[in-house]
Amino acid sequence: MAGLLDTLSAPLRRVGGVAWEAVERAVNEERIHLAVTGLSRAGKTVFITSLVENLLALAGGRDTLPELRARLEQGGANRLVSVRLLPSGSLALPRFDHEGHVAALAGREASWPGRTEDLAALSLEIVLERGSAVGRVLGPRRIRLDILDYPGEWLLDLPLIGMSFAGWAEAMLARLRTPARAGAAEGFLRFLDLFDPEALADEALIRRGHALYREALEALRGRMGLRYLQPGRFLNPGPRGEVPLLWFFPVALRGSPRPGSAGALLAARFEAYREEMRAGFFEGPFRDFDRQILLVDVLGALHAGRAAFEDTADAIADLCRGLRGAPGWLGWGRSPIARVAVVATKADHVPALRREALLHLLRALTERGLEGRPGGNSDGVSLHVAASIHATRDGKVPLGGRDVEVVLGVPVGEDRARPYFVGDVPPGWPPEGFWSGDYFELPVFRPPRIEAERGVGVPHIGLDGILVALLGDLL
Amino acid sequence: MSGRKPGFVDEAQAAPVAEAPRRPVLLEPLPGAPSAIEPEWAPGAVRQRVGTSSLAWLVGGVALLLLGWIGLSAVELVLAAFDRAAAYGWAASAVLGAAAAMIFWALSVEWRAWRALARVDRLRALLEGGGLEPARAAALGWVGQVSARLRDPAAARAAVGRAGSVVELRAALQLHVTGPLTEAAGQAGQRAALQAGALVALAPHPALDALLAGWRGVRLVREVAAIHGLRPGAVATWALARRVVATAAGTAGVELLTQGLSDQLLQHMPVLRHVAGAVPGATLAAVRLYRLARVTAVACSPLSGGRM
Ligand SMILES: Nc1nc2c(ncn2[C@@H]2O[C@H](COP(=O)(O)OP(=O)(O)OP(=O)(O)O)[C@@H](O)[C@H]2O)c(=O)[nH]1
Ligand SMILES: [Mg+2]
Repeated sequence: MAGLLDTLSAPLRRVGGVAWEAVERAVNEERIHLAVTGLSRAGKTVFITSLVENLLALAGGRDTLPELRARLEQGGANRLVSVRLLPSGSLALPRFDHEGHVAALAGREASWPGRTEDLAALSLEIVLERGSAVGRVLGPRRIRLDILDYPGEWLLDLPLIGMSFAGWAEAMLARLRTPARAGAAEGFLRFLDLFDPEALADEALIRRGHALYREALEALRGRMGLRYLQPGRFLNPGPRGEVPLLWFFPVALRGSPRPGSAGALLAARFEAYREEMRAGFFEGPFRDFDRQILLVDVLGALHAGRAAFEDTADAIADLCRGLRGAPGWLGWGRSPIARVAVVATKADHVPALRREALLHLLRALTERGLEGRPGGNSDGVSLHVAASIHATRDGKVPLGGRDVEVVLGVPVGEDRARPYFVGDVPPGWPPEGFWSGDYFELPVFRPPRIEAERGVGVPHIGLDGILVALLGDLL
Repeated sequence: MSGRKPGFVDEAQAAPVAEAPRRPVLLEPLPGAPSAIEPEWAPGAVRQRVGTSSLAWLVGGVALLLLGWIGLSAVELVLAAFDRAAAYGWAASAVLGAAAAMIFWALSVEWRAWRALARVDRLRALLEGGGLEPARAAALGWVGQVSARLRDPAAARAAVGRAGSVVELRAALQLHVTGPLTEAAGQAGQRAALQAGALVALAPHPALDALLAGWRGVRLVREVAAIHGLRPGAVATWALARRVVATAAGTAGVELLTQGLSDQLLQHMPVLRHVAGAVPGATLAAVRLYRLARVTAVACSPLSGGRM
């Protein structure tokens, strides 16, 4: 009898330990998956870096996020116990190189992070004292924030998940043939005129078509500032680089293609690509989000002209629809995202007085994407204007005979501050007469020098408001 | 908006009604433009937890009242003694002086303990995100503080001196210092566990179990602190105990609590296994004490442990 007890007791105790751990977790730990979404160059990587750095600084006693701090205060006492980056454990994804990004920003030649080329994950733990005396008995609460960074281009494959090759190709070609785009896509469109999808598949010809299509996408992105460009991995192939399943391009099919024909091969590759993105990205690390931040480079889109602005609005509308998981759109159900913060980024290009207009413009730009959210349009959605890193200073200079509000910043590669006049920011969808037809690229200002010593935070505009709107109910 | 004042359209400074929208421009640098832009951003310090509750004020007031009363009556006593006879007065002074010296000594012990704790906190902060050199200096100071417990203090000092980065410094401390200290703390924990297990087994009434374990726990906290070069007085022990609670509740503690420590402990201590078989409460008390030793070690160590 005693022997049996002895043999049983070790496993029993182990089970007890596991159970205790589970109960403790259930009571004290909350795990939040935060989706930082945004088209390419919207400012995701910079946002995550600044967010983490400022949270760490707040825990270290610096008032870097005043609104959040006010939220965490209770009777004059701060309930924030600690914030730390969790060790990566046995994570299968690359780790977000927070230290590297901060070091680059803090370096002598301060530089922005490069384009993100692969997935990267980061977990942050926020420990909070409980508010009530009764609650304190249970010990501090831990909020674990899981954040994923990824190349913005890939996100645009989300609307593609529910599509067939024929449907996708038709939509894509219609886009390419609009007058604004046809110029940049000329080479590819001419190629299509002589390409017969019913002919026997010719590898060399298909690769040529693929190269031309990719060139067209690159031209649309580089010369016109367009964002709604699919498939995302054509522009940003990721760590595995060129693989044969990428070698396809949109082409109009008449009926279903004959086996062995070029059309059949293109369709097969499209489907393989779609499945890989679905399994490896959207159903993998990108699944199950509780909270979403949608970063929008409103100014970049506005300055790039009408086509780019409308293109951005389309992309956001389709993205939001995809993320909501409307039935029939994606093959799997999602629990609804409880809160969404929509953010106009890089607001440090706009003097303080005009940021209100930027907010209205943001509303107009994302309206279509946000309507039809379950529970209504505005339920859980908040709009913000923010700069993850404040790289400028407001000022006034004479322009065209009068003083105008500008921001002063040092453009990257130069060594003296220049005033930047942002022009008119329409407080709503820009009227017909607004567009001039030129393409103007937002200047890139050198990030401010931040102290190399850790824990002092990064200058920003409005990150605290975003955090409160997004996580306020958990704090 | 900017520069456009409200007014009648025929006024010079007012904007024409159908003005073409203004385009963005990046202007040339103004004369004397700076070479770097520092944004106007100066976050202040967060008010840290101000724990002075009304109770604390009450206790403070009563203490002041008592101390003042004792001090004043002592002076009065001495004066009265001198009034009677000089020798009597000297005797009273000597007694009171000795008492004051003892109190002063106790206070200075407390003060030193407090300082030592603060030094460990500072080193912990430096190791978490500070410059290499300040961290190295603080680490050397701490190695000195605990050198009596180390097998080879010279090697520890050399390793700390050689570290080329804060990460290496942490590793050096882990290998040469906290490793052996944690081991020693674990042994102290086992001793305490054994004693508590035995005591609980002998205790005439289950109600006494908690009391016994609690008393042994306070002693254990102080033992482990002493192993880490902290010789806490009553006040510092109290501070340390709070820290231990925070550690246990925080991140580091959870990991410690779920390591299957009880299995480990029972394996190492056959005596305890026997006691455990006979008296159910005994293992629990023992395991708790052993865990307490581990958590205290984390709280006393400048490595790991939650930020306080
Ligand atoms: N001035 C200023 N510039 C910003 C800010 N945020 C982003 N930028 C600029 O925008 C660029 C792109 O930001 P990233 O964070 O790398 O963008 P991303 O969304 O991660 O882009 P991908 O990785 O390509 O998808 C940066 O290199 C900066 O030049 C900001 O808050 N202020
Ligand atoms: Mg990025």
